[in-house]
Amino acid sequence: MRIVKYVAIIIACTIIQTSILPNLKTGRVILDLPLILTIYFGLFEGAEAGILMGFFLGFFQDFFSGSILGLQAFSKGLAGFVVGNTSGRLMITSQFVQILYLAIISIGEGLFKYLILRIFHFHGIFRDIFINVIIPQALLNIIIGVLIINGIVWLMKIRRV
Amino acid sequence: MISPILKYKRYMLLFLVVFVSFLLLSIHGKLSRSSDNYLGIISSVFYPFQNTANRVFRWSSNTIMEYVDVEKLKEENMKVNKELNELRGEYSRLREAIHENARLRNLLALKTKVPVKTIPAEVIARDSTVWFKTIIVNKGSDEGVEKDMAVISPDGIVGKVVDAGKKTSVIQLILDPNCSIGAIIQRSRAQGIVEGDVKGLLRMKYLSKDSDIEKDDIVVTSGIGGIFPKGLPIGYISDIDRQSSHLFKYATIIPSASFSKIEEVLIVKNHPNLDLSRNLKE
Repeated sequence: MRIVKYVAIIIACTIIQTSILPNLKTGRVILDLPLILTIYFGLFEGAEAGILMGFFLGFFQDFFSGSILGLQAFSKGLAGFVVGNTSGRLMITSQFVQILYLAIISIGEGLFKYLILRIFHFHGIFRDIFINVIIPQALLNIIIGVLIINGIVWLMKIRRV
Repeated sequence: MISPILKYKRYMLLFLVVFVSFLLLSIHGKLSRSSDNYLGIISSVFYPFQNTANRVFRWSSNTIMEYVDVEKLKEENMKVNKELNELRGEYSRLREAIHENARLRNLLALKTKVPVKTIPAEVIARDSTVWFKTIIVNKGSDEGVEKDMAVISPDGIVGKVVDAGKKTSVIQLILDPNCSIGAIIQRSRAQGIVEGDVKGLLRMKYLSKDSDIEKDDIVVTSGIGGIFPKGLPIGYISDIDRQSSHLFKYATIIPSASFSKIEEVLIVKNHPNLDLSRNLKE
């Protein structure tokens, strides 16, 4: 049952990310829903769920973009591991903790992707990428990510009741 | 006591993810999303969902806009609200049809102007990251689309096919930092290379120091490289970097095509080194 839920989330997230979110672009930035979900799974369902969901969400994101296949799968799988492995003793329902993770992971994942892309001779200049891509992306992920994570937590609570 | 396998499960998973990622990254370039391998199946599975989601989104955004208008009218005239709703719904459909008609007329005009075989395609998805600038269109190898075919719109050059699946193709836009095009200034014939940047503009590099370039000069494709036919409009110069310390001049270009609004494109099937400047001037 759990696996069906995960597969459904991956498919829904991929469709939303490729067909709907690009039309709701904020400036030059598109919300990174797979990363937000990876952080959610890492925080609330543990490192294993974080790694697997991160990997598969990233893989499909790679698949439907001009990205190098494996780049986002790698960075998001790693993000899921970092979140799941470090949040064990933290109060994950606290919005401060969620914002902290959204900020650190969004920036960290952006920097990690830049490093990998440099190996593949990516032409972007670091300063431009950091100011125009990584920081705005992190800000958007934080603002919308907190709402999404708390929305899912709220939905889960209602389901349990 | 927790068994060692369970204890180290997360590290084993991490190792697996890192291993598979490295494997995917190391075979980058050899692995295509096209139909002739198993990855093509993923495209085929997602295609109907993406197409439907795209259409539903377009329909719902039109409906939302209509709703906003209707709300205003509601306040002004409560009695005719129901009738007005119906009329506005009809009007919306007609307006959408008129816009679509105009876009397709432009596309048809371009198709007749350009003496090469082209495949009309509709944009069904856009790149979900800001790192790359790509779009996905609803035509693939079934319709004859192949890798490295040029993609154009009535406004100018759009990009090139980087991956052709069975029913869909990925188009790398000229805005992508990894896309380079041989370009020429239409007025002075000065040559250079145009590349995309993350800011959504284009940058013309390697213009010789003595080249004659001015603001608002039109930049067209030079045909060098064999992918893009010669003479297709790329954009116009908005800024020139003349720093004396540089070996070359650099120019910032505003692209002719409006990438955020593109809905239909033409994929150029073949162009035996044609110069399209005359055809497009008419």
